[in-house]
Amino acid sequence: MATSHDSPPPPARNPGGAVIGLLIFLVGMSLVVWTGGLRMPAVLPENIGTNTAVDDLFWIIFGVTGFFFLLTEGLLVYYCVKYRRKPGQKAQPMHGNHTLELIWTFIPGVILFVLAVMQTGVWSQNKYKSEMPDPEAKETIVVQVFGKQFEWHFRYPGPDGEFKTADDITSGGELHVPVDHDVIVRLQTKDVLHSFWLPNLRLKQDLVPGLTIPQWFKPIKTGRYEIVCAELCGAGHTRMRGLLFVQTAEEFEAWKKKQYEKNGEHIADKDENWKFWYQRVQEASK
Amino acid sequence: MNPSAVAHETHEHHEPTGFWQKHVFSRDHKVIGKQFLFSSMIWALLGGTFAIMVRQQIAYPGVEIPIIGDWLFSTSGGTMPEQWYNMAFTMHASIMIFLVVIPALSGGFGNFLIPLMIGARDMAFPLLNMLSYWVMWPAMACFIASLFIGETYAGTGAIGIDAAGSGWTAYPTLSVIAIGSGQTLWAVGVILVGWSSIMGAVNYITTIVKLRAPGMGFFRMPLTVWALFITALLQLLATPVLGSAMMLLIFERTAGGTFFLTDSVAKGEVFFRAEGANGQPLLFQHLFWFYSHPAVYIMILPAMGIVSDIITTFARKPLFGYRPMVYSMSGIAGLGFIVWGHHMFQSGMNPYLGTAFMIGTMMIALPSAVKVFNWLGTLWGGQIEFPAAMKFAVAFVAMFIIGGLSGIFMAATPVDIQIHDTYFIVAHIHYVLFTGSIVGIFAGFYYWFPKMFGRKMDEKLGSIHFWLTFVLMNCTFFAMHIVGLGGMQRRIADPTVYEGLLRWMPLNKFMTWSAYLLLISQVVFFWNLFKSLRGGERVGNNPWKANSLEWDATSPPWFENFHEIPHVHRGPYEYASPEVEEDYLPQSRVLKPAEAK
Repeated sequence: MATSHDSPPPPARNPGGAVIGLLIFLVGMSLVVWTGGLRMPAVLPENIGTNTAVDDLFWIIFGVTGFFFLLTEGLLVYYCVKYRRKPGQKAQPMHGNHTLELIWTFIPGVILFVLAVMQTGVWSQNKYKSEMPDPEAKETIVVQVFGKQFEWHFRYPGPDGEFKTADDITSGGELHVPVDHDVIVRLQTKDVLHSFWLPNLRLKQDLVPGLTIPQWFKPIKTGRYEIVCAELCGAGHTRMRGLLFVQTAEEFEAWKKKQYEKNGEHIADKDENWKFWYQRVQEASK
Repeated sequence: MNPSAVAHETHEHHEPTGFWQKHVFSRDHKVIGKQFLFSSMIWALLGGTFAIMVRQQIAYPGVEIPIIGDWLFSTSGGTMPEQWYNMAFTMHASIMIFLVVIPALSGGFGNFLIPLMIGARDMAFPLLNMLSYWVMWPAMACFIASLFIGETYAGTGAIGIDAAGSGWTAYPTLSVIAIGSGQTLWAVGVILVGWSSIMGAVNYITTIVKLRAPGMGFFRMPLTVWALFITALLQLLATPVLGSAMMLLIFERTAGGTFFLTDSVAKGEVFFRAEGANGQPLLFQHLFWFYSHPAVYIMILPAMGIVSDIITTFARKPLFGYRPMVYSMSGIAGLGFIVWGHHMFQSGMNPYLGTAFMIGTMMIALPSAVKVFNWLGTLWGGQIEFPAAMKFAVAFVAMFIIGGLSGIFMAATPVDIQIHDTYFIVAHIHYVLFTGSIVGIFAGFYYWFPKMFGRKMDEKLGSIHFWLTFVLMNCTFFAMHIVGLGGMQRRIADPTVYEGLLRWMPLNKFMTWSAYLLLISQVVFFWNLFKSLRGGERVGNNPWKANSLEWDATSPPWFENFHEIPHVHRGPYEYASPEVEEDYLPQSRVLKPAEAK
């Protein structure tokens, strides 16, 4: 290697062109990374729940991939500049290196495997039914979530604690939950696939016809947040937005009471109620 | 006697003389390859136009489309209806995947290069080869027809309003209940494209196994041929599954198949089908991704092979780690069959399966990493020249690193919860398919253009084209990572509906303007193409001083490729060999006793 580069370099045939281009690229990329990457904590939507492990894993992967990004791109640019063609010289006829191959197979392999193992715990906390908070517990709020082109509907059990009874409480487009309580949402769709996404709680789950899929979260900050449909569901997909209100326990109880009074007389038959309330939402949205 | 030699001697092969047999319904692999390449280019323009319309709508939702708005959307006051937007991104992806990248890489380069690089006179099955191109035409006709057929179109005159609009993934139940014939035509088109793929794949595999020139062992094949060989295996094994998924979808739409519809949907007020329907939409997702994940490798492996050859040629140095490169491509292909579930982490599939698919997906990053390190090893200590082909090849490596690394975020199941179905994945797929595959196609086109047409493309224009494309594609696609992390979901027509996305509108406008410029800058490429076709610098057989067999043939190659089938004496990457004075040593060259040390 050394012999071919220690000799006085003859003038390069294309001085600067590639170098300038690559520098522009590097400066451009660093600008983007600076404006975007370094301000990343502000980029991710605010996390208002207890599910911070997802963010931590994100940052770990960001660090690892960031390191390999800088390493490989750096080497690529460096080699392209350093080993530009010098007339009359020949490269070394090198066909490979067994040790190097082993190193760069083994090290990324170990890193990837460790990264993979690190995901399993957090994944199970988020998705495995065995990790779900006890739905029978007094503190746990259970809500049925229905997706329907292009609305979100929510149903709470009434004082009897049972769904599909006359005292159920329904809500269109607004999910109200008390702060610091475990919430279990049971996701169902009436028509096509939807995806229930709470960007601020790091929760996303598709709604699948024929399945009822439970998900859970625990908000620790009150406020008004957005519910997003993340799966294409037709020509109104964009408008399929809901609102999440995280309230104090008192506000939540008051809201439930008000909602119950509004709906109480119409829910003898659950499907009748559904239709009534769906029409009302439609009218309200006009 | 060598079986391949028998094949050559008994092969009835006369050059046709009529215009139609020679240039249109040709069985010559070189003509078919060029046909695939040129029809891909034309479709890329249409696919690019759809992309521009999508970007226009995202950056300026509800704003009247300038110039063409009145003509295209007369009933909606010149603004884009949401269904039209859904159609635009569906057709953009379908066209780019099924009619541009796959046909250009395996159809175009595969056809043109395989016989030339392995020293054969033509493909094993020339008629099948011709059919594999011409069956693309009914597929294209289906795609085009879907833009002009349908009730809404008849009523409003909005071209395309009835075309497929449920995403290129066409998930049921949305794709089942979609009104109009567009979605059905789309599925028929995809089946036809798959048919073409299968015919091509059978041909490539047979040709590579049976028709290699004497001395061309498997481990003396250039990586491009290896990549196309592995790609053909993937196509042969995976495409029938896509075909069956599309068949089920067609039955479901036209004959009430109830493969995917469930009771709750079938009974619903909107779509009355039958009570007691017992289907499951997740079935379609499994079938679809069982093809479409390997399809990602069908779209990237040939580009990897092409780039490996180009980098080696212009680094004037042997490929670093030939066998590890072959093994890693095989590893990618093998693992590619068991990771389809990573598209379905949030789909409602059993989360235990998610864990299993996650570990496989993480591991598939490993062979990709090995390839990147070997490319770096090839550049290390080289004598690198930078014609346009090499610029694109190096850019492929640089961009593939980004696309590969961003994949790890999605592979990590918990992180995927947040970024699934956001613009982060849109950024990822474009870093792999545009700045990867398309850039690889450009690299290959600049590199083999002299072999195809006997003339070089203009280097100066090539350089301008490269820098414009390189800068603008990064401006367009890199920012998508950021808005994706910032919570912008994909496939929405109007981000301003969401308060949380208002902060990303300036960035969205930036991306849109970059995309406009990116599309416009391709004018330089087409100008260069036509200019060089007519008046490019004429070159000899081997303008790049490369080693593989195609450079033994004349430029453009004679009808039967080689006047005498070459004998292969060594691998394809003997650059800077100490055995000869020049810095290259073609595979077919016989060393004189004086030269051979």
